[in-house]
Amino acid sequence: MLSAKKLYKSFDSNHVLKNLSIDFPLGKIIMIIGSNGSGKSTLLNCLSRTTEIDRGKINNNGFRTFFLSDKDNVVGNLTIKDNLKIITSLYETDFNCEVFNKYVKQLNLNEQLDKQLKNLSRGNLQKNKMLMALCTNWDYLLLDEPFSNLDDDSICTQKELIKKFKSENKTVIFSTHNHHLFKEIADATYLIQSGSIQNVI
Amino acid sequence: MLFSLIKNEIIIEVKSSFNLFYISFFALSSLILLFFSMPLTFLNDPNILSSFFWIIISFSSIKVVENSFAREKEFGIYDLIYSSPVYGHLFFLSKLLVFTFVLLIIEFLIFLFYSLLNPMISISDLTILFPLFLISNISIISLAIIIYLITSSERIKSFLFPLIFFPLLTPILINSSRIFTNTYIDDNISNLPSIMILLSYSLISVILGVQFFSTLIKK
Repeated sequence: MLSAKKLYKSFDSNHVLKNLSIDFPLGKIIMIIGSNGSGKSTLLNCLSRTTEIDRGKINNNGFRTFFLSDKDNVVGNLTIKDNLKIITSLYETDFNCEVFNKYVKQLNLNEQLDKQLKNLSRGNLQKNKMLMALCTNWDYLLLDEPFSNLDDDSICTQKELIKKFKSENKTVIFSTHNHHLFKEIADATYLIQSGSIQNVI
Repeated sequence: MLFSLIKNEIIIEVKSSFNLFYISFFALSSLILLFFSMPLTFLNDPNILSSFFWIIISFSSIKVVENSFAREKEFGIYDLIYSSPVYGHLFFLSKLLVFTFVLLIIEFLIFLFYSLLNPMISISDLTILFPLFLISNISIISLAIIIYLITSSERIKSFLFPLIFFPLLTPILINSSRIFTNTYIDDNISNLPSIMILLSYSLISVILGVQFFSTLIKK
């Protein structure tokens, strides 16, 4: 499983994570909550190894992580398909046109296929992030604020897709401020406060 | 995997709003400036042509490297790319090879312009100069990537990139220029100390890039 042991991370004098330890088992949906600046994004960055930790250890035990930060995660001049082809090649996944078309339809992105990604709306870019997760092989999906800028229907679709991941014995770890909206799908909720983490549900 | 990364870099480069066009346009504008600012007799001086050639290449290399990382950072694909299971040194090598090729295209354009400007320079000289261009480009790009990554970290101001890059680049520019001038005069590459310095520089900078790319990218 993915685990973090005695994790420390600070930015100058701001100690964001202090002696944080946590295990993430497979096949779970895990919600991370906390106030602004509490360290939710920093934890996800550390788990995905995009940020170097000051002290401690992160062990993925050979499981693959896929991190979608709160940014758009695209190359602006490419189309949805070209961008996805680049991502799938990095994550050792064969690009499957059939799977791609199926999820494009489900996420209602058909009309966006010919557009450059920089011209897509914030909501459609958020859907594109889920499309990338659907078309790539991973064991742990780390999502930073995945439901921002989405309408109610799209949020429902995303919830269903996250449940689908769980049914495939994959783990989704996501951060959010709207925990009341997603507590029904989460198996565990963790609160980050003052640099440490605690299980609240 | 390296071929796949190279293919990705090329796709991004080609589809990125005429990036190559902008850099070529910059190179040609500098040449036109040279043409109009110097008396015609100066344009026959191999030292002047050679120094201008390498100055334009060094400025272009900054743009090529900066644009590449800026594109990745602009819409945030940076984290997704560098958190993938691909080894960091493969990213470094793919960028190195693609940007070396981009610089070769720019060098070809400048050389074409020179051959129009000066009848003593012919396009066929390119075959003699190709190894020089290749080795110099590898040194310049490797160094540019390393210095860009060092200066784009959270603690260092990004304007330091050219400030640190140029002094380190000076030995490459001096020796490349020296070989270029000799080739122009003698019609063959014949400056062993300069060749050895260039080779050492390219080897050291490639080893440093391969070794430290992963660490620097996470800073």
